[in-house]
Amino acid sequence: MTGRRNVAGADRPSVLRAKLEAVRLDFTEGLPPRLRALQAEVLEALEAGEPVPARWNAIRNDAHRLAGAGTTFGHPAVSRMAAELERRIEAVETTPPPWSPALTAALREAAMALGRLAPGGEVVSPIPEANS
Amino acid sequence: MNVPPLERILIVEDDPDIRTIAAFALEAVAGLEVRTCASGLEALREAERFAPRMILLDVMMPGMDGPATLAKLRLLPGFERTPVVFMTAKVQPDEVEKYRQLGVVEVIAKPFDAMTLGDAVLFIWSRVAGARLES
Repeated sequence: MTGRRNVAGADRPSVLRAKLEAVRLDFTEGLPPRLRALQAEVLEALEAGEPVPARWNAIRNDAHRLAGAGTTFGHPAVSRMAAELERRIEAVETTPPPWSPALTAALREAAMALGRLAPGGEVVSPIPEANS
Repeated sequence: MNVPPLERILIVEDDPDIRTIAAFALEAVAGLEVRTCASGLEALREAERFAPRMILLDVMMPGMDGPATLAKLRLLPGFERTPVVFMTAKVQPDEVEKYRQLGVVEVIAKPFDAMTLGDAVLFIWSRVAGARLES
């Protein structure tokens, strides 16, 4: 993207607020499926049980993006839970398998908590402990 | 002492929503010419074409992260001293110190306030450019 869209001084705050609100609405509309998808990715990766670095890395990046954007667009709880999920994924990534039940349970719990923030959340069936 | 205007800034951010808001804040509010990139690799290509005077660089990105992008940027002719500002949610004092040791001029904490991002960037530029004029 390239641009120079300078707005007259007095109009700047209102123009930026309007733009921010438009992006916020788009973000909010896309949030429920995004939360459910992230929850499902974590649970499926746990069920697979094998430590696939690229897979966990991709999931952690998704969580990181949510953590960074949530508060900006009016969803601080999403930011907090996504940051928690990110931390727990890091814990799994830096721990050689087999992972302890406590480690996977903490990760699963964070994923479920994030999913619950979506309307109609926690739609993914609980999956039995992997790697335990 | 006249500080040269910032004019052109490159934003490197993998999140499309954050990228949109940051770009709009810096274009429409701060009056800067802005280009955006979604990855470090793209930023290295775009930097040479666009010749930004300052770069806002996300720390955590898939593939090449912020520190890796910064290291490669410094190897490009003309970008040895271009001011780079990291944007990150990880702003514990030890983390910020580590970023400064990499050579960034400032760290903007995420989530940032879109309403004041332009002022923050212009302030950083005036400080950095002013200090370089004096030295």
